[in-house]
Parts: sequence; C-alpha cells; structure tokens
Amino acid sequence: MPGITTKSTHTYVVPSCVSAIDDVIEITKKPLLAIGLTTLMIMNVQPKTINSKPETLRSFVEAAEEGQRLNSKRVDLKTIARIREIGTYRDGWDDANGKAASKQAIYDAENFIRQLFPDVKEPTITLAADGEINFLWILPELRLDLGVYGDGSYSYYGKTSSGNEFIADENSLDEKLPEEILAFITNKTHH
Amino acid sequence: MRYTQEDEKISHSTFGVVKDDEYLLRVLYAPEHLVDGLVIESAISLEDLSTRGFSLDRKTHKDDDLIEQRIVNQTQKNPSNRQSSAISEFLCVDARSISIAAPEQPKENAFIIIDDAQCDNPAHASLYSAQDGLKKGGLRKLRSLLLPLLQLKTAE
Repeated sequence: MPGITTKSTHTYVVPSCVSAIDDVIEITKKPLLAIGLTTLMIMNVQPKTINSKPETLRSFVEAAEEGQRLNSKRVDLKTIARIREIGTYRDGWDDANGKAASKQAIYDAENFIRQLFPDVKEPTITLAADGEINFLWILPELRLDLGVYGDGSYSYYGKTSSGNEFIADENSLDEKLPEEILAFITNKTHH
Repeated sequence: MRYTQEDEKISHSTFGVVKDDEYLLRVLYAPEHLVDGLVIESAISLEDLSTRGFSLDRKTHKDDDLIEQRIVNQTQKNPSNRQSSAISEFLCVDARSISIAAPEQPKENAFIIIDDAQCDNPAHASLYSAQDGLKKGGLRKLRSLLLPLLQLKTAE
C-alpha cells in the first residue's frame, strides 16, 4: 500500500512500486536497494497510483535474490550487457596495441543485434585487438564470423557444414542479413 | 602494405629469414581467445592480417623469460578475460602453403610470414595476408583458414 514519508518541508506520497521495493528491502536487507529507494525519493516522485501486482513484487524479490537488477538469463539482456562491458575496455586493454571499441562501434553493435531480437541465438561476443566488436555463432550447421567497427557497416564470413559460403565486405547497418543466414542464427521460421 | 618479401630480412635481424621448417608460437588466453577449448576468430584481428602483422615468436630462437613476462603482463592487464594462458604452435610451411582462390582465378598463397625482429625481441616474426586489397569479408575468410593451425594441441 502507498505510504507517506517526509523530506525537508515537502510531503510525498510514496507510490506503491516504492512500497514494493521497501518490502524487498525488508526481505533481503540489501543496501543497494536502500540506495535505490533513496534515489527515487530524491527524484521527487510524483503522487501516482501504480498497482502493486504480486508478479511485480516477485520480480523484485527474484532479482534481488540473484543480486542483480535484470534477469541475466535473457539472451537479449546478456547480449547488450556484454557489448557494454566491451565498451569499458580502454586503448591498450591487451597490454599491446589493442584498440578500444569506439563509441560508434558500441552503438552500431547494439543496433545491429537489437534488430535480431528476440529470436536470435546467443552469439559469442568479443573485442578484437583492432577494435572490432565480433559476433560469432558456432552452430552445428553454420559458423558465422560477423563484426562491426563503428563505421556504419558490418561484414561477415560464414561457412555451412555443407561448404556453402556467405561473405559480405561492408554492408550498411540498415541492410538486413540474408534470409539463408537468419534461418540459421535465429529460432524464427523463415520462408 | 607494410610487409616485405619472405626471403628478405630486416636490417637489424639477428636470426635471418623465417624458414619453412621453423615452428612459430602464439600466446593465447582463455576465455578471451577460446570457446570450449577452441580458438575463435577474434584471436586474429583483421588489421593484423592486413597491415599491422600478426605477431609470432620463432620457437627456435625464442626467449622463454620474455614470453613468460609477456604472459604475466598481459594477464595482469585483463585478468577476468585471461584466466589461463596457452601457447599455440604451428609449422611455418603449413601457413605458407595455405592457398586461396578468387572466383575464376588461379590459387594463390593466402599468407606470408616474415622475419620482423624487434629490438626487445629478435625472435619476433609477423604473418600477413598475401592478398593485397582484401576487404573485411575477404580477411574474415583468411582468418578462418588460419584458425585450424592455431588450435591447441595441449592447453596449460
């Protein structure tokens, strides 16, 4: 239920979602969530009724129990998180001449992979020494090496188990992958 | 392209041209370069293949202390992605004999390997694409051809 709290001379009606967080804090005693609650209060949350559904509360509890804010089992969230982790690497990250991924490369990589959600199979995502963000699909019938450098394009080379090759030098990010490749790297049925 | 001919040595070379029967080494890290124990494509950067040179150590002339120190330094730089290290080893001629053919063109060597001695590592060699002007898709194909040679026989 919404509660009332005070800060300085102002009065706030705490929305039910905050009450839910409060409940979670009670359950988990996680200091991080206490900071989140404080942040919400400082953000001058407007009085507003939000239904505190049991499933919402359960989500908070499950996330808190796993020590995270989002469900890391989801391929889309894992993928984006991995790209952003790569974005934290700085020049010389390999103790040699390893280049950091450019901001544009991070942006392009996210945009590229978002177009394939929610059906894309999970790729291995790595940073190469030349700043390439690489997506690698190692599948029973296809191995696909695809990457972006932040120049607005992507390139790939793939080979099927039967020996068919797919190759592209500089496809625009607006250009979709061929259906033959999508049929391998997504769970979606393509016609 | 920065590469020189394979039968030439650079001015400050200590060990001369890289011979076909020499073994070449490359340090790899897990999980950065390996998935399920197999070396992955991003272990070979396209820029290395095209212009920068893919660094190798010549086994016959290598300095063990230098390689060990390099592993320590590189591991410290990125410990979460470098939880373990391994050294890949292949015969120079096995890389030199890989060929590639453009459509309707005769087969040509895919790679050249040259002496690239450095002041602090005279046993350094570099591998480049032998194909001038390849774009990224073509370079990706090249690295797929090199990858089998880098696979580890024994991992540390």
